Amino acid sequence: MSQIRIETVSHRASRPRTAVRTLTLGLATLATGLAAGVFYAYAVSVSLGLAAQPDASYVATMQAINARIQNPLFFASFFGAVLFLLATLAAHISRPRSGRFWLVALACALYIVGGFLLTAFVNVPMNEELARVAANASPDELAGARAAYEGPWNFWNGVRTVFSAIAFVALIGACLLREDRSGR
Amino acid sequence: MDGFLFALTLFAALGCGVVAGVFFAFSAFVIRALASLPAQQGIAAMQAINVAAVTPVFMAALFGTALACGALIVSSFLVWGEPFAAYLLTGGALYLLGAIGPTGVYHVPRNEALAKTEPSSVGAEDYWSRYLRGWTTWNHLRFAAALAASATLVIALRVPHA
Repeated sequence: MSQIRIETVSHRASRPRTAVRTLTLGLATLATGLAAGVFYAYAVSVSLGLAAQPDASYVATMQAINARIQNPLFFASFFGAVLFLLATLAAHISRPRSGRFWLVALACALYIVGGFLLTAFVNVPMNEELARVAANASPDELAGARAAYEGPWNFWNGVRTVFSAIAFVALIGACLLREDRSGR
Repeated sequence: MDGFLFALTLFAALGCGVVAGVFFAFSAFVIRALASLPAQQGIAAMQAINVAAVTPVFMAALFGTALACGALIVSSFLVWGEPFAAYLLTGGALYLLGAIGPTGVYHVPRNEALAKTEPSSVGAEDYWSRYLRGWTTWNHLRFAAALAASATLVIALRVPHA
């Protein structure tokens, strides 16, 4: 019952702000979840499948994936998550003692460091290195390029999968908390 | 909502979200990348991905979530008077009908047919281009359904209790 009363009051006081908080949190959860799912997809299917491919085909496929991933749909989730997470944090900054604020702050730290920056500073440079391998490179060159790329790339992909998945769980938790309360 | 149903719904919401993300990867770029390769290479890569996807981790996510969604549908009838019951039913049904349904009825049979295709054979390229078109369209649907299921189940957890 007390829940209902509090809601009524806060609705009357700041309905637009509540809408902004709900919207930014919803979009952040969506974008972070999709980015986590993409990393997870590599870990459980794409990378495993390509592991069975010969070097030339591995390099060509990974080059094609790294080129095609640069499209508006993926960027909306990968960069969108950063924007929406920061927007959500800003929208909740007036309630720094709420459980929701802490979960959003945790998700920001996890995704921005362990998902976004890790990708930008580790995976992307490796992708750029791989992109320089010519299609008609010698078998030795292809084998060398693959050996330098595959293991470390898959390892760091696992790391960013774990970080972004925990960020996603934290955001779902934030969705379940009332915006102005420390408990459910 | 009691503790067990809450935990089950939360598990299903997370599972639907992760599965949606996997489908998203294929809809957004994996298939486009494979389509841009020479057919023989693209077919071999997709065959390998289809074999590799049958790992315990991914099967647990895909079918563990399906089990949870089935249980949520049953539970929704048991607690039908509650305001969240309709969301449990909708979320569970979206995932089972929209994500698992097409996977079993559409994708798995096509993947099996592709597995039998010799990448360098005559006609492989034709089959490959038809495969890509249909597979991708139905994958967009699986993605949308899993995503909607996840959102609906999160809403179910938030609906005020009676």
